[in-house]
Amino acid sequence: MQPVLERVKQLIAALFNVDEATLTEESSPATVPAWDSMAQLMLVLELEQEFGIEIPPETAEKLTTISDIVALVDVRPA
Amino acid sequence: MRAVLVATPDRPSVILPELKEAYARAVTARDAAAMLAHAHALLRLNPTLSNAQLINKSLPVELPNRSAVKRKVAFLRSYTIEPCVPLLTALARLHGVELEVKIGEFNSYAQDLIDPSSWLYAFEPDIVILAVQTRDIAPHLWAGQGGLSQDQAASQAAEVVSSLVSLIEPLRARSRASLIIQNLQEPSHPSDGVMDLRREAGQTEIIRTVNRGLALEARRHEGVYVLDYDALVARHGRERWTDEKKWLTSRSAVSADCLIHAAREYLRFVLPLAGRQSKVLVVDLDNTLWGGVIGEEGVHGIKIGSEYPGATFLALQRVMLNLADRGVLLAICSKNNEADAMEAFEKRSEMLLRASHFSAMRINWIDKAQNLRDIARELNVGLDSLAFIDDNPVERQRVRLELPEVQVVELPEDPAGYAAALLSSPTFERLAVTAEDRARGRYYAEQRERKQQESSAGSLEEFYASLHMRSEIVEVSPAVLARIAQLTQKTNQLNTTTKRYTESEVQSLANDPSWRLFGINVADKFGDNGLVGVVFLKIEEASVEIDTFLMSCRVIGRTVETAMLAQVCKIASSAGRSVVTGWFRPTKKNEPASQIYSTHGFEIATRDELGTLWRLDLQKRSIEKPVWIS
Repeated sequence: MQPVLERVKQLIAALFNVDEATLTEESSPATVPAWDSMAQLMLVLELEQEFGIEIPPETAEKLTTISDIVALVDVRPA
Repeated sequence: MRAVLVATPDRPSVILPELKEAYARAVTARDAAAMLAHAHALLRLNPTLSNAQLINKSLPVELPNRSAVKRKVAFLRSYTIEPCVPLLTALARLHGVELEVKIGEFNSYAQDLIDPSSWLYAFEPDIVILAVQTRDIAPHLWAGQGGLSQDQAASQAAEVVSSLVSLIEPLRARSRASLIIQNLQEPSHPSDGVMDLRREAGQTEIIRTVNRGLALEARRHEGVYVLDYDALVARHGRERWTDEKKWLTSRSAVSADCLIHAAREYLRFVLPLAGRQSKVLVVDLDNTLWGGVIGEEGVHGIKIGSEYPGATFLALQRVMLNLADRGVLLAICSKNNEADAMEAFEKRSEMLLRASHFSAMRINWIDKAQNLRDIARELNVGLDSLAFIDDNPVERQRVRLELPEVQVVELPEDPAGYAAALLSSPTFERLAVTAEDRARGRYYAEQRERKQQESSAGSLEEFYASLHMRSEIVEVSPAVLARIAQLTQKTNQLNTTTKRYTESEVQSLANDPSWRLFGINVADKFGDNGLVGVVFLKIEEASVEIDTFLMSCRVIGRTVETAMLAQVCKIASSAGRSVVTGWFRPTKKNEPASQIYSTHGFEIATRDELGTLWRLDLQKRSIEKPVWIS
């Protein structure tokens, strides 16, 4: 399995149609123009499917950078 | 921050990285057929938004034998439709349709349609989808309102119908776009519980009244269609359809799992509106149309009938009849002995499908891709008009890779799912069917049967034999002189040189020892045709030249010409000549005679500006009178 950071970057690159190489851990709606509120919604749906998790709305609001996302999804079953 | 792990046994996303990698490899190799095959699988097995976007970005819409079709789609909506759009555009790409999609503001659909200067008309859409749901456009119906009178309920229903139908006219005034209206979804549980249907004006009853009214109104308008949203939701489960939290937080009405189902439903309208439907369904036989292998198990060993497992194949045949009713042509492509396969159609009375249902058949051991090409050519359609089903996944994948234009319908492993897979395939959707569409299959089937009889040498010989033909060679005599001259004067079609002779000219040639003239009388069981053929031969030093060779059209296609040429060979031999020659001088009318020499083994000796000289070497080959002519 690929490292979580790579998977998240790949997913965002595909979803927002941006070059994966331009994404860093600090990438956020401020640095990726396609990352608007609707994109954020799709991103959450996608993260939930890809990582088999459920992201509560309160948490979804706070996901502003790629490193936030990595920290969120990088949970392993006990 | 914490995420909660949820069990997702039906999400193969984690176990399918290979498929994604295979797609990526195909992209790198620019292998459009492999990309298309893997894209189909990705959207079937793992229809995530990022996979959809990947396909939207990299999958070519155009194929060597399939041009791209572009359509503009405007979504007018009351809820969040955005996550569905990448899936819809990706699905459309699989079928060679490039969609440009624009989405209106929440609940501004009425203004968008009524305002002539709205973005909608500037966009010039081909398809307008009114994506609304009960809880937005009729919140009182969604919430339930016990104790309505019947009149109140009827007027409420009428009001909802008219709020949507009244938007048709403004659209029609400014646009030729097709309009798709989603009907109203029923709630998972009616507000009055099990008592709801006891009430004359219960919640379910009113919503159904609205939906009946919408269907009725849509039928009255050209280019207006109802998308049965309630049936769509019910098909996939009302409780699964909406993730209540997502609805409340983001107005997402469709749960992530169901987005692909919504997208596929839109596709059912998009494909026929883009002219992208399959016109022909090509089916395999063994283990597809019936259970088992007929070549091994025999006609009575194959499984077909009302009992399981034969019933699963019968169900598939029933769906094929449904499709034929929509105007889809049926064809067979099977690796089998044709005689074995035909036996099933003739001897198994349980079969719903008969040989006469099929417009084309390729039952042989040739490669399926080649057979599919032949079927397309025979039915005079493009490869992109063919759909194909086969129980063997290897054959399916081969066809996908060799003929990416052909729509290969994916079948489940269990034959019990074949019928549903075929019926739910969007590639056979039609928005209207004419009487000609329905009759077309019959027409092609008749054509095929006619051709089959012609091409079958056995039956043709039987046909000749059944005529009981008798022929008689006649010399020039006063009794036939006039008739022979007349035939040279007026025969235009079956006449190789079209030389005209008067009676006296014929008489003088008949008297000349270097010429041989004869006629042929033909009779058959229907009567005497009289003198119907004439041949004039000039005996040269080393050969015999056919100066005139003509026949009446009455006996066309009955091998009388073979009998005449056999007589020519006989005369040449008895005159000690081993070569026969004859000119074909083309005219505007004698095309029917152009093949006479070539079909009897003559070879081209020379050509000049007036035609071709044909030559037959009797030492190599002679011509015998057909056995059926006595």
